Amino acid sequence: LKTYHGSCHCGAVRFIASIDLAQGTLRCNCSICAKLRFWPAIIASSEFSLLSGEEALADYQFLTRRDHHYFCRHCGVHPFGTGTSPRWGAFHAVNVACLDDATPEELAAAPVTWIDGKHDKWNSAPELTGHL
Amino acid sequence: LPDLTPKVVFAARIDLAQGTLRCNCSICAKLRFWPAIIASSEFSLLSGEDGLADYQFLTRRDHHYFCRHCGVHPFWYRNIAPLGRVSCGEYGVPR
Repeated sequence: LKTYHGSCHCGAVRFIASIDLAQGTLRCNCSICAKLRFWPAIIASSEFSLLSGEEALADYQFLTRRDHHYFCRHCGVHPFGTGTSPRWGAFHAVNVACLDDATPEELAAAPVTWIDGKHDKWNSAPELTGHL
Repeated sequence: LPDLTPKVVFAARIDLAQGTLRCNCSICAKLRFWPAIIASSEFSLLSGEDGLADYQFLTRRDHHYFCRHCGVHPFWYRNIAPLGRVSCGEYGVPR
């Protein structure tokens, strides 16, 4: 695990998160991930600390309202989301594009697991992935 | 039941074969923004103007709009003529 510092663009929201990028990241074609081009690493919530900006976070929820899709109300960046799943327990989905001290080399080398959330197939990849 | 009504809706005429952009600047990188650049005359905002938040920084030249309800950035706007000639501009629309 490596401790990364992350933030939204305007800097209102700041966090630290312990992540092993070699453990992989996700890209998904579900309705919200696709429009955001969201690129998260999934970590246990115990590995995440919000340093500032709780008041700047807007919380977008839809359908089952199970997950929290947070974004900064000032700049619109989505630094992380949260949820609870049978597979991961209480998790934070940390947007690796918001990790300020992750190098381009680290991000480019991070493995990606593709998910066909659009068709509710959360354990398989969609046919097309190049647009995600 | 949740309100699933789209807040921001637009129509745009785009030739995707003319290309799209990906950029490593500070804002594009954090948003993974993927726009096609078109003339403003090819873009129509159909609804949701009230739902748009406008994020600007540094030179405040560009308008980085996003939906204040869901945080999605449907398009950005840059006025090419910085002296106020609003008749020519361009939008960045994610695919």
